Parts: sequence; structure tokens; C-alpha cells
Amino acid sequence: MVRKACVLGLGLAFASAGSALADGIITFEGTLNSSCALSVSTAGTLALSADGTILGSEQTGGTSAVLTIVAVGSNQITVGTPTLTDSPAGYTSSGQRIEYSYAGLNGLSGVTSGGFTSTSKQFNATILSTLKVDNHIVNTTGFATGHYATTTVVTCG
Amino acid sequence: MRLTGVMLVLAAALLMTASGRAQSLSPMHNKGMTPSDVKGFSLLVGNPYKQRMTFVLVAMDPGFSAPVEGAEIAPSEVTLAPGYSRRVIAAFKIFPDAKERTIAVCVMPKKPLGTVMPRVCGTYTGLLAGAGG
Repeated sequence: MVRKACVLGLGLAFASAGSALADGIITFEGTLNSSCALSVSTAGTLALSADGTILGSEQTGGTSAVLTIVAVGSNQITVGTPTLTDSPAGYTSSGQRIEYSYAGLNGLSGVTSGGFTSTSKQFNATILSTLKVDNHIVNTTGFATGHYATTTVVTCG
Repeated sequence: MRLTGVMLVLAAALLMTASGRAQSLSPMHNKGMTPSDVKGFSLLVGNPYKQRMTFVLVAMDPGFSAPVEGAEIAPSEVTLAPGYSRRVIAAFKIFPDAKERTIAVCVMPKKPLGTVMPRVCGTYTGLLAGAGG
């Protein structure tokens, strides 16, 4: 059944190609809508610095977040100010500094936040690219034991 | 030369197919007129991940900073298999003293992924028919 359909399909394709060749014009058409896909291929994790004052994904034992961006049309990527979304009851947040940094990899080489910052930044998306994002909390008074989470919103729009 | 042209067309067709199965939000921008005071747009939301994911959709201001009133997205939460997409409807009211209104629709995973919350936001404008200007 499938083979018959394939043979019929091929027959139609040749018939159609023959007709088109006789006319000398073959037209293919398609419409691409603007779109953007952001996906996190590596989720970031935080680790404590040797001196105990920085909890960050760039530290030994931490993991940078990696995002894949697929964009069609004119789109901008905005990396927002990170926030502390979870911390243990014993943690003293006064005096803390929460910052992020990013660096473009494939398709975005040269795009960088210029080190850690807490200010939102923007750049133009390319059709296929990869972005590495780090988050850290700096607190000279140190960190209580427990679970911490920081979140940076990365927007394609 | 002719073969190169055909290969290019095939490559473009493959690219279109791939983007159709892996996009998060499309189109990213649209504009249209309405004869009533409500404008709706059909949007395609996709899951680019390798696992089943639940996404939430929120109607926001055009600067993507805060949710807005008088706008609904149906469904406002979708669970999708890897690589699949589905249509949602975003509809919003155009207020009596305005000729047009622009809202944003933001799509994001239900929970942050590690230290990052990826978000895709498009903007959509409804124009009141017969309002002039």
C-alpha cells in the first residue's frame, strides 16, 4: 500500500517536473513567520568560593547555565537583573550583591556583559546561537547552611 | 547550477520544517483590525526541549514588565511533548478611549531551569475599525 502510494507519488512528481521543464519555470514558495525559541541546555548550579564570601555558578563545583537561541526575524535578547528566589531562614541578606554575567558562544562570539553586573542588558539575537550565563551572590558576612536559588530572566522579544 | 538551486530550496524547506517543530512562540509580532472592541490572535507555542514541559502564558504590557488587565490567553498553561507545538488564542479588549492597543504575550516554563528563567515575548496590536487615524 505504502509502496504503491510512493510509486504513484513519484509518477506524479516526474509528470509535474516534465510539465514544468517544458514551461521552463519552476517556482517554490514559502512563508517564514518571525519566531524565537529559547531553551536551557545546561541548568546552572551555585557553589561556594574558597573564602566563603561568594556563592556562584562560576566557582569551582558550580555550573554555568547555557541557553540555545533560535531566532527568525528581528529579535532582541534581554538579560534581566537576577533575584534571590530562595534562601535559608538563617541567612542575612543585608549587604549582599546579586550579579550575573554572560558571554556569547556559537553565533554570538564577542557578545559579553563585560564582567559581573546587576544592570539589565540587551543585544540582538542571531538565527542560531548559544549563550553562557553565570549568577553569583557576594556577601562578605558569609552564608548560612541551606538551599539558595537565584534566577535571571532571559527574554527573547 | 540548477542542482545547487534545488539543494538551496530543499535546505530552506528543511529549515522551515525544523523551525515549525522547535519554536517557542510564533509569530513574534502581529497587527490587525477588529470590527468590535476585542481583538484576537492565534499564536503557535512550541516545546524546544528534549522532555515534556509545561509552559505558562501571560498577557503583559509591551515592555514585558507587568501583567495587564482586559486580556486573556486560552489555554494559559500548556504541556507539550518534546518538539511539538500547539495553537493558543490571545484576545484583548481595546478600551473605548483608544484607537488601538498593543499587548505582549510571554511564554515561559512553569518553573525556572536552574539559575535561569528563559522567556519568549511577542507583541500584538489590535486596531479599531472605523476609528480613523
